[in-house]
Amino acid sequence: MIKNNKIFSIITAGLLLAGSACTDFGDINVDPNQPSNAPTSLLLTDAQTWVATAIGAPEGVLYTQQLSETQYTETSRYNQTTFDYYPWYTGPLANLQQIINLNTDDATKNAAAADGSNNNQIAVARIMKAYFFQYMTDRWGALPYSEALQGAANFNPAYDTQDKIYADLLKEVKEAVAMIDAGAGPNGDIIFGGDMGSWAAFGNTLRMNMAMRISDIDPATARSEFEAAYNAGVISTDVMYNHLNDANNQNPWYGRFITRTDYAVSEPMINYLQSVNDPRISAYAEPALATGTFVGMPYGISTAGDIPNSDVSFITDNIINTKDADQAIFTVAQVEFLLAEAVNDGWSIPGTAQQHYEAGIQASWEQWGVFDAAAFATYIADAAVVWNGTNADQLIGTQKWVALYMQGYEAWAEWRRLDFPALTPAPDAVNNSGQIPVRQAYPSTEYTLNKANYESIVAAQGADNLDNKLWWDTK
Amino acid sequence: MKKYLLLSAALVFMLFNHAWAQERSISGKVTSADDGSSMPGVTVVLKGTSIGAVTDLDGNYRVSVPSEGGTLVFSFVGLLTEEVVIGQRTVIDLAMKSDITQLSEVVVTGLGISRQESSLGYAVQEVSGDKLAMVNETNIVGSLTGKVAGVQVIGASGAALGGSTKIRLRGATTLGESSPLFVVDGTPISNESIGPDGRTHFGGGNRDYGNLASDINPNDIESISVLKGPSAAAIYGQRGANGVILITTKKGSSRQGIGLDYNHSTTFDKVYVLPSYQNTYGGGYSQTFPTFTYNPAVHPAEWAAWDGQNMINYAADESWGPKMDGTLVRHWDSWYPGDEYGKLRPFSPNPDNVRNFFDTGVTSSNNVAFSGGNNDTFFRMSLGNTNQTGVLPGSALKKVNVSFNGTAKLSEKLTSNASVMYTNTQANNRPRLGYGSGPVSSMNQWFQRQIDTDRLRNYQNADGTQRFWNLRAEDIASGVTPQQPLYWDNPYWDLYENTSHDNRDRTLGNVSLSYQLLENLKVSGFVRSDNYVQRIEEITASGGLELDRYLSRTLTGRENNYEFLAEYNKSVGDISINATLGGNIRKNFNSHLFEETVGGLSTPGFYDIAASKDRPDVDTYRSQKEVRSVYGTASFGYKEYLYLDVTGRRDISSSLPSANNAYFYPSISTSFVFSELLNSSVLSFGKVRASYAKLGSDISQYNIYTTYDVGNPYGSTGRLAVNNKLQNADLRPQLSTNMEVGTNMRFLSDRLGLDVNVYKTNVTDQILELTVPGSSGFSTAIVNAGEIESKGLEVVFNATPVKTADFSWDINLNGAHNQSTVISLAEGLENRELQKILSDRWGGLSLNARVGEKWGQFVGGGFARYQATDASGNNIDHPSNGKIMVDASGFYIYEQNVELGSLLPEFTGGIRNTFNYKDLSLSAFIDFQKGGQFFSVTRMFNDMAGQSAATAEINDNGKNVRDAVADGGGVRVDAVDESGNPVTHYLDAVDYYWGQFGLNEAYMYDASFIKLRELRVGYSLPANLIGKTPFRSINVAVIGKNLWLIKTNVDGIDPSEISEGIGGFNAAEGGVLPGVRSVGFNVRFGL
Repeated sequence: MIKNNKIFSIITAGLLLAGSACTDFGDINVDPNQPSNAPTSLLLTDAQTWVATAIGAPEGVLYTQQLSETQYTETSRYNQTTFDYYPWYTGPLANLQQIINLNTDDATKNAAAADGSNNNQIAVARIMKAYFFQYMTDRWGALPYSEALQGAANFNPAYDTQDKIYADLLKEVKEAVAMIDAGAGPNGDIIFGGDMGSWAAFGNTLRMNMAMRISDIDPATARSEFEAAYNAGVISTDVMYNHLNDANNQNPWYGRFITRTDYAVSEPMINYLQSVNDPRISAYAEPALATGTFVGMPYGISTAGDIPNSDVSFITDNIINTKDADQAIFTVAQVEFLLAEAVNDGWSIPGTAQQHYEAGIQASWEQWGVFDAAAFATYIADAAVVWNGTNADQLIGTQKWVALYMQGYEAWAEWRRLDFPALTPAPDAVNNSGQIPVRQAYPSTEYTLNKANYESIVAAQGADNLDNKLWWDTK
Repeated sequence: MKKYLLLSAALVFMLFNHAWAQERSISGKVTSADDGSSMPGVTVVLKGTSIGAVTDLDGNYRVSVPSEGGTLVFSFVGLLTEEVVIGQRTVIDLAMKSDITQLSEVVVTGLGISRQESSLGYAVQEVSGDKLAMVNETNIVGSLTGKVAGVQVIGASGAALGGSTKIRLRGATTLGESSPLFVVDGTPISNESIGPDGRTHFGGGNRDYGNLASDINPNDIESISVLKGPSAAAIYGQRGANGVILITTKKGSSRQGIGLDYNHSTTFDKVYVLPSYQNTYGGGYSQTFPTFTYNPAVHPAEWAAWDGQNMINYAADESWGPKMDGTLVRHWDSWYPGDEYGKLRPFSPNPDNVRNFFDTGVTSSNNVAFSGGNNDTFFRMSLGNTNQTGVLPGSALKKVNVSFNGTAKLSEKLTSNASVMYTNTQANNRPRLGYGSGPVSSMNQWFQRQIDTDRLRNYQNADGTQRFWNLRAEDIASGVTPQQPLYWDNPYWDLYENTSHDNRDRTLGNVSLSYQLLENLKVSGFVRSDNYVQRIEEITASGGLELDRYLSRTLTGRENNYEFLAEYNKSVGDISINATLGGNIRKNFNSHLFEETVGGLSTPGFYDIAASKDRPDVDTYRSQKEVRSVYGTASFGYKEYLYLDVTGRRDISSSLPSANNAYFYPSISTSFVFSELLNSSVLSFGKVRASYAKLGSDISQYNIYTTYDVGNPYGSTGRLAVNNKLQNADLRPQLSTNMEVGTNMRFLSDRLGLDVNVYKTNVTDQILELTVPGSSGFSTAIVNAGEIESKGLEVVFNATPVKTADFSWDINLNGAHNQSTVISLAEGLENRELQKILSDRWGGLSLNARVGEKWGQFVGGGFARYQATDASGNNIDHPSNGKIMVDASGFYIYEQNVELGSLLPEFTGGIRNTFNYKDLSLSAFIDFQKGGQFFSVTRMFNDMAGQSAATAEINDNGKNVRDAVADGGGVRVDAVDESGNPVTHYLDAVDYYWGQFGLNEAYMYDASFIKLRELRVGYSLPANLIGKTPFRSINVAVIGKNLWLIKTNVDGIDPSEISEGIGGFNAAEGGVLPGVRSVGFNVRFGL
């Protein structure tokens, strides 16, 4: 058996070679390709870049007929019903929630404070969360909200109805502004550079806008929130998203036009601007190549491909051929039009409705670099423009529609609320109703992955299509 | 557990290793008299005693006998038992003959051990090298197509030039994609597929750099064993869960002189399957021609004469335009300086313009192999090269294979072996796949039917700028030579200027030492390695539609295995034993360097990362993984008709949390050769088998700890994002359980054979990257959850209906049915999204695993169908129930989230007929599939863009569907209205077809097919003719591949070649490369 012992020692040695006894691999399974910890400033920058996506999306500018598609007219014929909202949760909202968590958790808040005071970082994250959630609820209506962003704790978040969401958004913005302290503003803030005064004003402005959005369904809340927000101080300069001369951070419209020519200025927009001799036409559009004049692209027709690109006016070169053209996040013009409406509704806001209305137009002209005092005086006296408090919705709606050029989803929301200007649905609409969409349907994945909640909200809110009006859209 | 294993192994050894008087030692080698191959597992017994041995893997045995000698009895199922008197000899080699009434196969099983098929308790199907090489298919995975029951090969088109070929064993056993493990002579090798940048969706731009198993030279393959289920593959552990493709290469053998085998083939590839096009209407959106308007302010004076000329709507990449009736028009090329400048030509059809675009591809391969050896050493070396030019102009691939295999007996007891394979693959301009990219996509989906492809071949102006057909109206209005194409580059520019080059070096092999410790006990050590370095460069040329771009990518992969194996075999009386005990350490290393220019190139035509206008995208990736394993097997045989195998394996994986990273799993199988007891003249062989196995498995590295995604910086400000994948620090190994029973019977002196196998595999506690609602903040989560059950039946049938001295006819048929059902998912979840195939904008088609249903369900946009209800909303019977509904204008009503069938086929298989007449042979191989669905983007746009024949057919009014509805034209739609009343509408053709965008159901197809895949007619020069020459054999043949798509349910798409590039489930195609038919010849000779 001596020989056998030798054999067993060889076999045992062989198996030891296989290292089979050891279950410890050190840090071999730690991913060297991605960091395990994140400075909150980098999370904030990432979340803020999504603002550019939100404003730069094409659907709103098409639904409101600011632009027309040229050859392929699917979106302007309401071809798409379901829209994916998951990226907003997994993208900016997850980051912002993580900023809040890292600044709240005792284990991480001290480290996080290196990027600005905990309170200020949380305040900014809450304001931005509210910004994205309002953007989303105005597209889809009810949303996973109070149960969202909980990770493994809830893989099937239920929906909150839009009234609940709006109530909480108003509260969130209010609380966020209130918690701003004298400490440092956040690092990595590419919108306001960490200036907390600007964040407070932006938060108040958002709150004012949210309040006005619900003014038809809940006028009492709308008024009190609006007045409080206004009195707390709102923005006095346009809040812009600065694009860079870099393909990763370029204006999205520039990116769309590198290889394609899909969007021209629509016939209704060009015709309106021409009818009132509005100088913004030259800031919005280029003359048609064939004629040298401004010609709008007919909206939502199936034979759009028959119209040569040379026959219509495209978007200004200052946007589609300018890589770093900025985009408006929220403008003074918007603020003034909100104030005009509030005063006209009898809310306690200083100034007259007409002053605010005209200031809104002026702010928009200045924003687009076309302000001229003489021309302006003529313009505001035009029969189609001149202030008339009994026709406020139409005047404000129409001026907002013009002023919100290229701010598509906000323009669409305000058009749904004010119902002006009167737009004719796409002649060759392919949705079953043939009407201009008043909401977007939930992502198809929601049916497959979150079926029970999906079915219960559809039962509560109504058919999941483009035609079912949102809670605040009562008119 | 390790202790337990060691102890049991030790017990086994001691039981049968008792000492007896050792007076003489006889050794030798047993070979097959038929082909000289070594015969493992043969029982060698001293007659009248219990002394004996079993031959090892190489057919060697050693037995101790009394000094007076005696008689050795050699026996094995299927071989004629022979008795040999020892006399004074110490070496007795024996060539054993087949018992023709008892023919049995030797197959290669786990750990590379050759065993008699009769002794196995599970199904293993082996395909010999000559069957694989019937038509000189260059990708070994492709050569398995249809040849093994239960193996579904999903191939890329021949046009893909070495594109990825996927393989699926026994349907889907996991909730994700399940690829089997590839093993070459015991060395596990990578069969990853390589795409350009990890994008797997068919969204466009993918070049498919092929699956790595295609580096194996088919000429080096002796046989491939397919270990289909966990039972057969149990010893491979976690990676065997989806089966194992076991490749055994050719070896040298002792022979006189040096042997030489030469194999040459040349095949010619032509595009075969293309959709049917309409040839009535040309490019445009309406049936009138646009006309040229002269504008003196901008246009050159000479253009004045053109005023009023008919143009084409060049901007249209669709063919809803005017009739191709010969009207004189300004074709696209008349706007460029040159012979056609300013000229009018008739607007007329070009029916073969798409087919004419393609070249005839040529594949030529040569292989020469040398082999030789004596009693102590033998070797084989092989050199091969393959040169291929694709059907897509400008695409070419070159491959060089070198391999060497040598064995030397260093001493009586010590044997060494080394084998190495090196492959270099270089390709230029592998085709781009997918919708919206590359010429096939443009010509098959978006094109003007009148375009003469030959005129596109001149794709450059004298100054090097591009000539293209898709002119912009802006350029004509401005009076300039066309500047930039709209939507599509000239397809030839795309091929010749938007280029790619790739180069892969692959080296794999092993070295080993074996030592015969005892007569019955051999120990071996192996070091195995598989390495590749893949370099890829892609260029988007300056002057094209897209921003110019340069991309470079280097991937490396390395897997090393350090293996120890002890093998013990012994025969005592009627019982034979084979046992092994092994250990293995596996280490994987991968790295990836990706660099891409951003924002265009600063110097046009200078293709380098340094030319990036903006900060380039650079990504480095590296990963490591280690698995430590011990395993053992024991096989017991009783009287050559009853067998029992047990195996056990324990793995420790670095990719699982350390608390849960070790796991053990066993298998047991048994075989009973009942024909041994029957002695029937009808039943020449019969056995039943049964097996049970458990198999553990882990996950890839880096799925435990939370990390952040690194984004592109904003200026100098960095960006990090919360990872969309939720990691899991509490993961456990997943387990699969497999049961199978089968029988193998042969009748009438083996003229008929039948092998039937049924199996059931349950995978529980699966490790899944589960798609979760994004509203949770995550897109996917790594979880242990769910159970999937696969059940199936595999049948192999062989027959020789005719066999005379000169003529024989053999039939080999295999078929398999598999059903994979999702039993459960994670708590509270009813559906797992396997793949989002189309975005919501395109109808949102997805592939899903849903509880209680078959794996792989399509859900997407579909037709709304009528269902009658009573006043309280309950469904009631109605003759219109289930009929497609239309709205008042006659358009289909669209419904979201409709179930649209299942991906997996009901039945797959193949049939081979081989006829031999004297020295002439004909072999034809047909494969088939029944069931399974796929979505075709190509068909959708073929219709929408007015290319397909259907868009210009004659309706039941005798009018073209494109004629005005008022004139009797239009597409007839018979459906029901929203109240269930039957209605008939005629719809304007373009509105009808564009109305189907996003209506996924309209373009779902049944993937059933029957295909004549391989044909070979060969002639071997008779022995009396070459007897006096140095040639051992000469064979010439005509070969054909993909000759005839006999049956298909979809026009213009080959359902057996649905490919979306490297990733995904091949559930959909978009711009798929056309099917290719190959015909050629093959010459083989041996010296």
